[in-house]
Amino acid sequence: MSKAAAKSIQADFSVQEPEGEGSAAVLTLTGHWVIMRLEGIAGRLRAAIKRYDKVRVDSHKLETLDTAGAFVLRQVLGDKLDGDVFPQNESWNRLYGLVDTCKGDLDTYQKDNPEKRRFWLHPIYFMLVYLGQLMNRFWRGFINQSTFMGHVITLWMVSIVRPSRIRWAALFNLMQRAGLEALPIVFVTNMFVGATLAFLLVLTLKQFGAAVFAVDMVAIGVLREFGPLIAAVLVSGRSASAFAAEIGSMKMNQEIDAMRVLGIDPYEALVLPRVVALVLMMPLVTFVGMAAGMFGGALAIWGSLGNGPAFFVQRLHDYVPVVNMFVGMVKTPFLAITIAVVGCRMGMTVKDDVISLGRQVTTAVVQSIFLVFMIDAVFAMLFNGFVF
Amino acid sequence: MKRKVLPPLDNESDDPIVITGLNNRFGTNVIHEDLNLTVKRGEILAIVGGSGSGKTVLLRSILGLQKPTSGDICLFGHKLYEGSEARTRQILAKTGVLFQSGALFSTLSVVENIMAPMMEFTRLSRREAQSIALLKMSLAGLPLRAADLMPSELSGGMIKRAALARALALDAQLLFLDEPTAGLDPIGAAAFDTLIKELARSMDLTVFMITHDLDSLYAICDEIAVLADRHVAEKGPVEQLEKSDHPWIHEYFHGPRGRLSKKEKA
Repeated sequence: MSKAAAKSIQADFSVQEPEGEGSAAVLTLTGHWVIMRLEGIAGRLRAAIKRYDKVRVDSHKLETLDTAGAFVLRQVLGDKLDGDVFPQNESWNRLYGLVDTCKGDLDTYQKDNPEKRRFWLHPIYFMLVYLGQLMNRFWRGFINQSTFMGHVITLWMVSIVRPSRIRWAALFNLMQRAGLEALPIVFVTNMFVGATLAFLLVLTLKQFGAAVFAVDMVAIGVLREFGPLIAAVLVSGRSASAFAAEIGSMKMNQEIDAMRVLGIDPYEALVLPRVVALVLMMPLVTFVGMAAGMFGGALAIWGSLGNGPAFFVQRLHDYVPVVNMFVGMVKTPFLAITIAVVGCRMGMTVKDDVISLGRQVTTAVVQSIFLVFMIDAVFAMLFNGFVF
Repeated sequence: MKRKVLPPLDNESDDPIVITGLNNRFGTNVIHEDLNLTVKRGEILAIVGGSGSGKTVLLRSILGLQKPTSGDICLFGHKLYEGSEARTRQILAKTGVLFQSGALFSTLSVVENIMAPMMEFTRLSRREAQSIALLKMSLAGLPLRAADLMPSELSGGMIKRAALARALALDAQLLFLDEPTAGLDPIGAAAFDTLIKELARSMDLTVFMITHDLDSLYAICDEIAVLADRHVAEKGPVEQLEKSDHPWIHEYFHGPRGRLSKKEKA
């Protein structure tokens, strides 16, 4: 499309000087005064007729008009209009009248909501504000997490006294979804980590002629730390997000409200089975992770040192006491409770819009992984020197 | 970034919607068979029909959301599903849709929702677009203090009005309404009916609405098309359909709810 052709369909106008003292300037409208062609016209028109007190509208060259065009005209002309706007065209007159009826509302709104002035502020100020908000949020999150945890523990006690209230079907379903179905990925990931660890250790210890110690170190590392930690991180990624999304979308769909009204406690029906299922399945997942880590380590040592599985198992038996496995296993229920509770709590705090669902699912994963590492560090300190 | 703006469509004389020989089927399930329908300029047409009679599929086909199995749909004399993408978009920009549940973008505030089509299709600056969006809100009867609320904070009636304002954002000439009064209280529904009628008259709108609300039919519709037996069984003003001897139409107007509606009218 050429520039000239584009010009002709644009909304435009021209202004004629008033002929004598006391008569009105003539505003001739041309082209299409529709929303698609109106950009910038309001400012130009306002500047053009600023000097005149009375303006008469000549519309015989105007092709089309819509509410947006009528609105711009109405806003700019204001009280300057002389005579009727569109004497010949009934439907344009109607549009102008329609827009006119809304003017009061708009003026009130614009008076009540003046455009905000933007201040330039120092970046450090923003950083401090952000830090403050972050701390505040962190603290509130901690309080909420504790309250939620207390609620879950109470319910747990109640359900131990009255096992008939446990939802067995949901529990077993969740044990399969969050536990059994996580086994393959946990196995593979831990195997790779074990193998990598073994390669690194063999590489370093070879310099001291102590490469066989790689077996002990891989085993102790996997049993005490890597097995539980990697299993927990993977379960966080899989299950914390799933729990938050499930419960969150149920909340958006008012299903939680429906449960409450029907007299079903959503904590008992939704949260408790998830927590219990993870607590029951986490040791199994961790055990598989430990086995896979050592399997991978054994393969790597076999490959790099040439000492086969029999050697690995013999050395394991002689130099790696079983207490290491206990140290790894004892933290799994705590990790499981943390992951499940964070996931469910984030789901329960979803509001009615889609954004908050996405944000809460993200937060569930981030927080649960963070807490997993924190709890793991606490346990590592507690069991420091636990070697036998 | 400036968008290229196509020249306006030269279609002032064409009927807004012309459907000829429309067929729609999903597998072996035939929804529409040889459906013909013409909507004239300035007309308020209501589509009625039982559940599962294909009203929604018809609407989706006209809106270009679902390609029909065969048949032609012309909007303003231009065939849908043919011609360039830009042309189709331009035709669709002349239509406005009020979805049943509003379908407001939940991440944008009300005024931003109404500005969205303007920012997409026009070169208006943000400020100009905002003041026009406020005008549209006011036209749709929405209190302007709702401008900065999020859709999740609105009541059902306000969602409908906000969605109507968005449908009218580009001064659509053809307005599609999917059950506009569903879920509104009778007073709110009557007010909404009046609003649609007023806007249709003063903005020269053509309205294509799906409705179950008998009061709306009597109050604002010029023509009613009944979808039954996989095509338009009968089309005409309400007085004509009342006398129809098609079994479904007869039941519709003379059934327990139909009679009630008439008695109030009398």
